[in-house]
Amino acid sequence: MRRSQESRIIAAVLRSYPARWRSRHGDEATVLASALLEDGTPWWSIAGSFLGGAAKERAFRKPSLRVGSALAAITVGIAWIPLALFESLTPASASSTTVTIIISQPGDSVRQLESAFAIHHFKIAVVERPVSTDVVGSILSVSTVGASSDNAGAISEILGQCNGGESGCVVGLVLPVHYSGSARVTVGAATTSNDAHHRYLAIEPRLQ
Amino acid sequence: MASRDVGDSQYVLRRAGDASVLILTSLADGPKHGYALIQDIRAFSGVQLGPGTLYGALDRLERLGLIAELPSEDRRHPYRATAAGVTALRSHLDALERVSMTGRLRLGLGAV
Repeated sequence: MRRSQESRIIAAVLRSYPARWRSRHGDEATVLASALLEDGTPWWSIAGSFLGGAAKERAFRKPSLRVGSALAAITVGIAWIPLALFESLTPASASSTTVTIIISQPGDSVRQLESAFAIHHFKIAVVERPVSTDVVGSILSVSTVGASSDNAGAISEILGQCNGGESGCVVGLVLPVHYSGSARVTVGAATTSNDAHHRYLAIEPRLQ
Repeated sequence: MASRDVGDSQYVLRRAGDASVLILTSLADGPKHGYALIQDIRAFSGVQLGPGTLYGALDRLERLGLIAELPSEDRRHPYRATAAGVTALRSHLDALERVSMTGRLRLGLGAV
């Protein structure tokens, strides 16, 4: 098997990790896999280890999703392997996907949004506005700047639970993966910050 | 209860798994990124750590506050052992040494 095919298979397996993990380790894992292939580690050993890691990562992410999600990771990983063998196949065509960004915890939303936008090369600024505690971390407004006809209305909002437990706050955004417009997102910020929750951002690419 | 809490944090590696111990041992002489960790661990222990296992253990150790990520070198992130990590490793190695010594004595092999 050619090196390019081996790399493609491993890249396919890496896609079975949760988006949160990929945004943190994805680049480095790809570099590491290449280095291991170079020094003679069999591709199936690398792919198998990553597949096991993806299953564990999903299994321990959220108790209610443990079994189903872990099985899904394995299924997705295995399903991608034969597809990745075909040279002509482009990996997960970005033009046919949207990016869903969900603020899963409310206190660190600025950093989370900024890093998500940076990952996808979106030219979207995030600004804070002091608000009452119940809407901290929610998206207050999204304004596009000089949006072209391609981008106008391209950003849609996801409604969810506010920090105070009420419903109706904007807790996420859906954008085309190739969104090229400029925009500004305003997020509710606490006047004082003293919480220390562990926060993370879930970014799930979805096929349209 | 306080002494038990101290004990629990010192011996956190008992529950963290072998990969975590190998990684902390590797980081004991300085920061390393993923590939360097795999190479070093293979050299000193003969264990070939899979990349999936490596990242799982790195995340676990970071959650426990035993290692910390350093600023990225190109696309690679070096990790270093924290003070808590060094303490946990020392406690773990002391415990292993006691077990090893007891086992050797009972087998009639004598202490090393």
